[in-house]
Amino acid sequence: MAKQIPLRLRPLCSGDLRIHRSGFRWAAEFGQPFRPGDLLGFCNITLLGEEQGRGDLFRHNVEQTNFQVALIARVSGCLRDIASLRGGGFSDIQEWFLWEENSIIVNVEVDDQDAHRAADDLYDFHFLVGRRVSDLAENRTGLGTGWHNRSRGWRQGKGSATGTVLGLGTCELPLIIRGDKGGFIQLLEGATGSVQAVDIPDVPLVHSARIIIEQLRRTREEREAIEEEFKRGIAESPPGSGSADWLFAAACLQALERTPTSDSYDILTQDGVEVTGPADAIVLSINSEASNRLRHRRLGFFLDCHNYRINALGPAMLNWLKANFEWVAYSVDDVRRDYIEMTDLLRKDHPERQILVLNAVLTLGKEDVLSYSDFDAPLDRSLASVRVRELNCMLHDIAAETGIAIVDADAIAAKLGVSVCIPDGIHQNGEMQTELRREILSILAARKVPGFARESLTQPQTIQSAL
Amino acid sequence: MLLKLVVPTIQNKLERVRIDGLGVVVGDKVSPGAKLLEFTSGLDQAAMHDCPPITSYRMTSSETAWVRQLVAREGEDAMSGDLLALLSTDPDESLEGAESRLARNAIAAIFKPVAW
Repeated sequence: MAKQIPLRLRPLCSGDLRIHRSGFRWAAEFGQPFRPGDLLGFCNITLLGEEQGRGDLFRHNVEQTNFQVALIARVSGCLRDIASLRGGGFSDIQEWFLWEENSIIVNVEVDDQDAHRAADDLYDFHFLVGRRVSDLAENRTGLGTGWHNRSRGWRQGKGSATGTVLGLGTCELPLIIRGDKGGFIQLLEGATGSVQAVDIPDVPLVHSARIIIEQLRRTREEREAIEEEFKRGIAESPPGSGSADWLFAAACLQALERTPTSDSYDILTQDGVEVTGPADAIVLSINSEASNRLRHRRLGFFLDCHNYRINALGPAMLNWLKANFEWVAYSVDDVRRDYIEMTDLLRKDHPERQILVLNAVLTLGKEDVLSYSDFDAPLDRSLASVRVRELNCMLHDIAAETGIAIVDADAIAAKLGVSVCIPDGIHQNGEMQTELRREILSILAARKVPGFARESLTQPQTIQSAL
Repeated sequence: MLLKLVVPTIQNKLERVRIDGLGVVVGDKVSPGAKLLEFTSGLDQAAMHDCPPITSYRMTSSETAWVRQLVAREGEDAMSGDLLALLSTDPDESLEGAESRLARNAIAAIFKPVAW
């Protein structure tokens, strides 16, 4: 016999913060069943208080305006509407309501075995925040929506230290980290400790090892020189140039000036806002290592962007790039050198930091070369298949030396069937992303990353380096 | 014997290719490993979504043959299975009513020269 329980809000924290919220948007339709771990619904929240000294979550132009809390089911059941609560429209976007303990926001129908649970014991909090590229990039219509240069989600569990995993890959990685449902729900699901996941998209900057190194080594004077260069590029654009190109230049500059591997993070906990970070584990992709890179002719910094973005630029921006940047061939040995330097840098002040790298899928497409004699040497700069094989071998070669963990996407794709799990040759389907996510979680657990160490997880299936 | 050179199936979602360049002219003798043409796949996907799976390929011959007729033209699009060229095992073989099979060839993903 099912029983209806009114779902009540618990306090978000015990501190003196004033927290406002929007109405809740329900992910589960009323009357439709949900299971433990499912997203029930979410609302926007705003922390109010003195901004001074309280960090990014309080700053309007940083993270304050894209802060959400989701409710994750602890039990099975279904939601039942409360007729007296009418939301929708801006009620579900603007933070018009005070977060009040014991507010009833919906009814939950649960099975008998869960009927004894208190009304505030039916769900876990799951926090989400995005840092907008620009205040103009306003989109609060869904879970984690908007153009963000950094998105993150966290959950509070047992233990004080929050373990953070940072995704810094190409297009293959964000959906693994953020999950099909968005909001990092699948990655953080079931964690016993306090955990956080962060996603930095490859829009427009691709975080190759060289880019990460340069971000970490860049001085203030060098940043200012780069800023001057981009400002000049925009200023010299002739009338009629596409303003979209200015956005491209500004977004490039913004990404070049940041150092995501050094970021600290403000998180809302039971005790108030705490600072954590930098990331305990960083997940990279070997596919970020392009064979040709743009390098500034005078200042020497690299600008790694996908070719299709460069090809889409208007003539003025393209001419500016041509005048100021040169293409530099980048060998596998160059990448090896970068990886060794990068891992040293990333662990300099954080010796326990884990670095995971998704390798390349080798069995893509239909390639059946009988003779390589008619291809230009060195083959890693003329043939994609040779380059990805050499990159994968290079990762194996340096795994023991650098302590990196290889997430063997190649083995997983071969097991699942490449044409099925990567239909267009680049982008994985949900099954492969689920497998890669599981593998990443297994590696994080095996390497005892705080919050992610779970005894229930199996050993990694594909990890190649010594644990 | 006539040998039909056709657009291969790259991935099941990538059917349209663009011919970037031809490596042969009518009358050429090709040997195993000889460059036949280069093409790019995935350009049609570029109009459909971000991060298009654009890849350039080189097609090489896997057998000795003579180029008898070129259907493919540089800059034009073609679909999987479309005829690109007719080759023959003998240089003077008639193109009318002869027995035919698919030409043996190989493709490899290549890095195209950069824009500047």
